[in-house]
Amino acid sequence: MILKPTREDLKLIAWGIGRVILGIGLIMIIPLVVALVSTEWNTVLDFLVGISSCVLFWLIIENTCYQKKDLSWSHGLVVASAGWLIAMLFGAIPHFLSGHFKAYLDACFDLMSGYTTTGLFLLQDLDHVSHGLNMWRHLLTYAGGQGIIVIALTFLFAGSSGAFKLYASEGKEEKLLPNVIRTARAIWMISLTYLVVGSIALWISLSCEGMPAGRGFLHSIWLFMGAWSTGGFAPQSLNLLYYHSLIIELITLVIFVIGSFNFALHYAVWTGKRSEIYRNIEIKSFVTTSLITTVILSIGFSKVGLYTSLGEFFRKGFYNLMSGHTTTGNQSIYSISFQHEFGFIAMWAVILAMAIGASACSTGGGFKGLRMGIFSKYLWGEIKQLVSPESSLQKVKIHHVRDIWLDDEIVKGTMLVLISYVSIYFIGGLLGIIYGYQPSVAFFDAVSAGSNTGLSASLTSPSMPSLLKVYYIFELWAGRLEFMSVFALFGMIIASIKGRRTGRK
Amino acid sequence: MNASRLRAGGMLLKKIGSYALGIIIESTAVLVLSGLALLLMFLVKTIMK
Amino acid sequence: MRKLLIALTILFLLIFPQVSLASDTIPIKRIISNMKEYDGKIVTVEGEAIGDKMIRGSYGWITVNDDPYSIKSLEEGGKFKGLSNMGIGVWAPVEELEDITILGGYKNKGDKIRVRGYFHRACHEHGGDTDIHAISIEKIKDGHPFSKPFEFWKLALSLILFGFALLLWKTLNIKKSKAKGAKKE
Repeated sequence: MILKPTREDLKLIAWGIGRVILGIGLIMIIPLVVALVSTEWNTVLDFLVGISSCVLFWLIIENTCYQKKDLSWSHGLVVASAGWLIAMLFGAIPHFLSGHFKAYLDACFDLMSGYTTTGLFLLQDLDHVSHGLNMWRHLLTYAGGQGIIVIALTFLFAGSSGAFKLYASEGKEEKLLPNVIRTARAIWMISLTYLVVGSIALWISLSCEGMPAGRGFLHSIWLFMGAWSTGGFAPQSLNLLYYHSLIIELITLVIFVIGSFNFALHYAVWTGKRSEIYRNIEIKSFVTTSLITTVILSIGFSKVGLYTSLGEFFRKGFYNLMSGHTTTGNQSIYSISFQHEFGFIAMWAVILAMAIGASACSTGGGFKGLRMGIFSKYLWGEIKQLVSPESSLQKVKIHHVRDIWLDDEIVKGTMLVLISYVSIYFIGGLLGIIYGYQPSVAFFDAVSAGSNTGLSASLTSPSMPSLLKVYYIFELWAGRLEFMSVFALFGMIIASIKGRRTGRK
Repeated sequence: MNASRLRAGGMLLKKIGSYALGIIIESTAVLVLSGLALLLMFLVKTIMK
Repeated sequence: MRKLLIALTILFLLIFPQVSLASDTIPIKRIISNMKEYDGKIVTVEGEAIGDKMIRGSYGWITVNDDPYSIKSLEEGGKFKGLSNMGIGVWAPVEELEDITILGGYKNKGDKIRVRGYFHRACHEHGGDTDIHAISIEKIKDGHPFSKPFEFWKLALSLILFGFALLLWKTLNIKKSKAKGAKKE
């Protein structure tokens, strides 16, 4: 029986969402400061309006919906899924006020793309955008990478036992530490440490490559945030091609591959379980799929014959392939080049890599290495079962931080999510084809959106059909939350309509 | 007092060292993967020629 | 006879504007969409110098944009064209880059330059980058800072929102202290 959510339930959910929005308002202070320092007065005002709206919303909710009860599982799931949608509406305020978006829908698209660490954008005239707005674009992708809920948890939900339910509903089931608040802080510690190390490395390299120190400093932070969060935003419209630099490509490559690793893996490696770096199933799965797609890509490149040297294979091939595989979306070529210069085989190698995606509990998207690992292990186990004598029972084990025996529950959950991903990719591709785009291009961008990658074969543009924009926003959101929270939200909506008949009071 | 402060400092240093080693290990892992990929690309390139 | 000649010339100009004006600049978008056709050939592009000048030894990089926003940016009240920027990286000797002083960004319209050079679909010297190696760069028009009026309505809006927030903050505090008082009783 579906139970209709009570007034209390709804208030509790609203209260949680209010806290999340307050978090969004608070992180807007950083771009506000950047805009102040850069003396961009109109941008300062955009952020003032944004912050005051978030605070006002929070206060309204706090005044009307405060509850003493704690969040339950289903509340947590709905807070996460609905919270992301509302966070999108509020976060888009400075975007829209900047005057670089034709419609609020476009601004929302960019926001969702940022939060979900995708990197597709509909912003127009990026090369004339203020430092403040650029800071916001990159910061929200960095924040989204850790999880908006993780942020809220770190600062705003301390002490609540509903905290873990919130945390897990954002597509992060793993606890690094027994306490979820401490887990959230550990995630921050890892990300901030890398922020410092990575930005310094980028800053030095950018200075060596002829960038002035001031802009180099900002660019290094933005590039780091875009790469680490596997977001793929960059401050200029040419993305990584703007820098024409091997060293910058190499550093961002290292950053986004590390960024695509599981936070539990980082924590294990950092705190002494060093062997995890080669024993972990996700690493094994990632290395295998990386090398397979590299071979496919190289065959494609060799056939086309445009890129000739090994260096070009690396910088144009491997770089963009890894950017796709880690679901980052930084690109060192023009979007249209995927279609015109890569050739069919190499383009599909990138699509395949994007669909598989990064690690679970990371900043990345896609099927995730863990699920690929479980799926292939399970398949292998089934095959072994078929050929071995009936009496012997084959049990399959995977290694992810510790050894885990595969049971039907795990496999069932994995398959459900895998099928959901394939469905959203497929529907997106089909929609694109219906609108008259070339099949390869339609699938490229649909997979890119659903796996939160952000590479584009030039379908995604401000002039794309509105329905496709809305569907892509859905893909971004559902793909990032790994469906469970989204199902919960739909369940609740259905329950509040259908549940009425049960007459529960 | 001094001894405990020293011990705390030592612990902190050890922690930082451990984290730094973690960063180095992870970065090296990516470079190793890139090296492997380069090798594979080279092989495919030569075979396909 | 002379009149006839002039009339004929005007007619010719009207029919074949591109040919007769002898303008050989090519839109960057056309080059990028047809890279094969222009690969290795000398092209001329014209547009706004944008972002940064990155000097590396005796050469340096500059980016040229020639999309509609390079003519009138959104920051100076340009209209939405439903597209992203379109530009290309230009590799040029330092002397050619010296003239370029104002670079396009949030605050400035960059210098307008005309670049003549070899287009590379995948430049072997630069790791496969798509670029232009300049033979000559000529500044056509100086850039200038955008004049932006202070947007008072946004200030007013944020003040009003903050005002409401303050009001609610107070009522929240009153509520809380009342609740505490009730507990004590």
